Amino acid sequence: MTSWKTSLAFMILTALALSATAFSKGYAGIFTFSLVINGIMATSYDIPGRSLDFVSLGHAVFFGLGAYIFGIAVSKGFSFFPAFALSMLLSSAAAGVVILLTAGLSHGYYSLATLGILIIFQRLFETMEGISGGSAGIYIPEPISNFQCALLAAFLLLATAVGHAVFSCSRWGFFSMETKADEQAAEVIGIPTRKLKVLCLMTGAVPACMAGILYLARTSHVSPVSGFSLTLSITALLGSRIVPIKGVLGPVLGSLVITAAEEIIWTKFEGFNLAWFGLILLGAALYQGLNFRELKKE
Amino acid sequence: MKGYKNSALFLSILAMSMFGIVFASIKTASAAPLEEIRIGATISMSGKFSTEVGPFKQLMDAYASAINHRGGIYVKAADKRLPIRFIVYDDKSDGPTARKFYERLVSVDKADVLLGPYSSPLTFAASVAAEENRLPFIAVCANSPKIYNRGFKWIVCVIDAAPRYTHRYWEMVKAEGWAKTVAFVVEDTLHPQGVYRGAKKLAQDAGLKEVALKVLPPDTHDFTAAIVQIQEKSPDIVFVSANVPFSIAFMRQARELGLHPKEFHIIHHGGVFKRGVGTGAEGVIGQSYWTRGMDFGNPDLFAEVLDRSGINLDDFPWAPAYMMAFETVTQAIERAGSLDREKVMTTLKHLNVMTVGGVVSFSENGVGTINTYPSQIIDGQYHIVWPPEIATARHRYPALGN
Amino acid sequence: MIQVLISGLFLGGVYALLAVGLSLAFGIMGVLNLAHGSLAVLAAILYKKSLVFYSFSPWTFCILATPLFLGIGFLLHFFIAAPFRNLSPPSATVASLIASLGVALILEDLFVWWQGWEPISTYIDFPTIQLLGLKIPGMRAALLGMAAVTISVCIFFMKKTDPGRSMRALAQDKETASLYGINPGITALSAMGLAAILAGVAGVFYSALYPLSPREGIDLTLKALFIVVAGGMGNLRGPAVAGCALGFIESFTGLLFTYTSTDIVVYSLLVSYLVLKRGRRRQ
Repeated sequence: MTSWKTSLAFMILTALALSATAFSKGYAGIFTFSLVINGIMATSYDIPGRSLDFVSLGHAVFFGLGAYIFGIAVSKGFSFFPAFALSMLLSSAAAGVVILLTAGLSHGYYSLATLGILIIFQRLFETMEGISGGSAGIYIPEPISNFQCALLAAFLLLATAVGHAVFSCSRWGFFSMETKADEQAAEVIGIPTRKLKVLCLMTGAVPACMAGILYLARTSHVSPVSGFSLTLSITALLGSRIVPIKGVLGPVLGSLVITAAEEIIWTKFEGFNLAWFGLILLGAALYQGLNFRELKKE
Repeated sequence: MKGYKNSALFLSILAMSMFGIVFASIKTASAAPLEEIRIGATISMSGKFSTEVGPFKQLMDAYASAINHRGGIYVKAADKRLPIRFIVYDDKSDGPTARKFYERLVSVDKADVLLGPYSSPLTFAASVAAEENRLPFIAVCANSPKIYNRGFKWIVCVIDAAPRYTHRYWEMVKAEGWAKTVAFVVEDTLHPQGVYRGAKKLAQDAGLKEVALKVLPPDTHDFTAAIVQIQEKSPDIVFVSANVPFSIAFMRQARELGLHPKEFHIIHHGGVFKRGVGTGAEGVIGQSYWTRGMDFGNPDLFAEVLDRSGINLDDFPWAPAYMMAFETVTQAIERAGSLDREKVMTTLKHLNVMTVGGVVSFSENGVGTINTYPSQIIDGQYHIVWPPEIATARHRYPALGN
Repeated sequence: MIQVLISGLFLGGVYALLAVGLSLAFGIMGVLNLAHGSLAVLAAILYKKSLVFYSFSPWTFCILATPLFLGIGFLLHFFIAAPFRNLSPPSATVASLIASLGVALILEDLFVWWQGWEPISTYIDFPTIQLLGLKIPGMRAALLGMAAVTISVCIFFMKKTDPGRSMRALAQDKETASLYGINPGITALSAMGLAAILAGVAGVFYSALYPLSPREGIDLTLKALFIVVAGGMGNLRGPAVAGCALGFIESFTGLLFTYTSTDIVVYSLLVSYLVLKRGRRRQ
């Protein structure tokens, strides 16, 4: 049951990775790159999102940290790979602190705390003008070619998906299912729930940090609003949850649907773009409700 | 279980079909040259800037129909007049989206020239696409110096740099000699910050002393602490460098708490501000690009464009800046005699053209010459009050509302 | 200092009104209703439109519009809450979040189409009252009073009436409440109706004090969400107090530090509070 879905997911991912590298230039390049970034964000969000039912409104914190630390390093004269390594290290450490603070929270509180942290980072980077460029953000010259960037992004997408699949099949994946079902019972049977949550959230955070780095390398510009973006967080959430399929196939299809729907609506429709997009979201949510009822009847 | 499998398969096919449709639709427009002039732009039809420029696609379409009604723009290389067409996307007031759509305008829609999005932050992001693809980019309402100090070669902006935005006002204050002190209230975003930095220096040059500076986030709701602290300093002028919603909220509370300087200067004091503040807006001075009665360029064409678009000038005081950008594009293409990118850009760099707001030309880094005039709300109407040769009314101070 | 304290109270009153309705929906049904702020915007637009025909005061309009917003709340319930009642609580929260985001986006475009791009502002010039050397803006004071009355009436409703008690019971334990004969469907429907009325009142009051963009609904909801979590879900007094506290903190941060640090201070305090509160619960 799971195998055909995982196989299909990896077939789609491979096709996506190949298209991203084949079309690294022009608008097709921009579109496939944004799709790959959405895919990484949705898949990384899905690791704690699905396995522990954590609803984060601040997944873009990790993305913004990665982008900003990379941008600051490059503007201080670092070349691509040292800047990449440095920002990976620092942003993962910062993500670790954020996660240690929030991992103990219950569902509703976790959602709101992540939103609050997103806003704190946005304002912090607006205020620290000397380092972060203030509200204008950071502009860096292209550190690597578009092709190299697309290649790295495609590799990161596949690696995130592999990470997702490996986590789900590992004992930590089973632990997370137990914890999701009943946290107290899981603790009683000896599952280290706090350690599990931290591990799970970190597994989701690191790819998001790397996505931020690659995003800045490709687009040359990041600002507090575009880096620590609520829209990006919600897009990751939607990508992860809009298609009600478990496993890595869910976020892969979800990010395809969200990115494609946005593209069609914003380029082919004259006016009422938000309303059309809203209708799709509403339809998808109602479909989940109806689908669940039918499954229950069966 | 079977139902679940069917549902998963159905969703997979649906998602992949959607992706296939989108990918297949990303094909470039036919490269048939010299049949029409394609002007690409994004407008913030949604998001935070939508209240300021939301309906400006109508302004673009109105200009296109007015020009096409006259036969279009003469292009020497084609030896005929070509119609113009605006290709416009909604950038959601978001930098990355603007950047993405400018890439689309360049590589899919094959735009011949690009008009910038609204605001400095969006222009900062979007202009990268034009620079990388070497296509002329005419920024409109984006005058933060940070945009033009990056060494970009393919960008010009019709309006002057933000630090000079209010220079005529300070010239007037210096000439009149009644003000000695000023307090600044600044919204912490790119354009208001840029305007403040210039105004601070210009005020010093005019002999005024800065007695208070309050920098506030754009979504500030309660200004009491700032107002109380400004009151203690009793400045002659309270200068508010902010966007419209911020200015309305500040002005209401200033009036309620009895802050009475000799003059309030609100840089954006258009119709939305006037209605939002009510009688408290009387006497407020601000900056306008154009008011009816100014006689530069072709004001009749502008009036026709406004009529066709249904846009009220008081509500959208940035409309003249867009009109000047349209006129600049038109003149640049006509004088270049071609849609060749290099030729159009070279022509733009050396352009000297009369528009409804005055003469447009560009400095080495692309910054333009169009600047605002101080205008005061007198008996509910906007009047240019400086310089004397353009003024439609005399400056009143202390302002009437006080 | 006292002047700033009074202003903080005015601001807090508006925040409190916004938050209490959201608290009901979140606490009772687990519905993360992102369209809550859009209902506030809708009320502001309706009030502005009504002023063309007759100069209603904000409070008169709120009383007259109550049945309409009750109906809107019922309607909303069928889109963002009822279809997900069989899902597990976290899944229902996510589904309701997606559905209500969809509704909020649809409403945003409809608002712009209906009333234009301009910010909604129903400001009325009221005289400022001078009292013991303090300046108290008349309109703000009147609206604060009406907000206090509205919240008090709601607290009375929740504590002293049967439908109110049913809502509280449902917020505490859905299954036990059902065993005691409380109909979860009808109670949830009533809660959504009441939440919509409160959103409407908040929107009318808000637009009388601050310009409100037709596209500001989701931003309003997010602000209110924080107050709800700080004040507690499913009750009214907590969010009311938390709303006022947020108003004070915002005003005082501007006085004591710089205004640009306001959001950093406010959100840091709220996040710390969440983390510590959770810590206390675990102990």
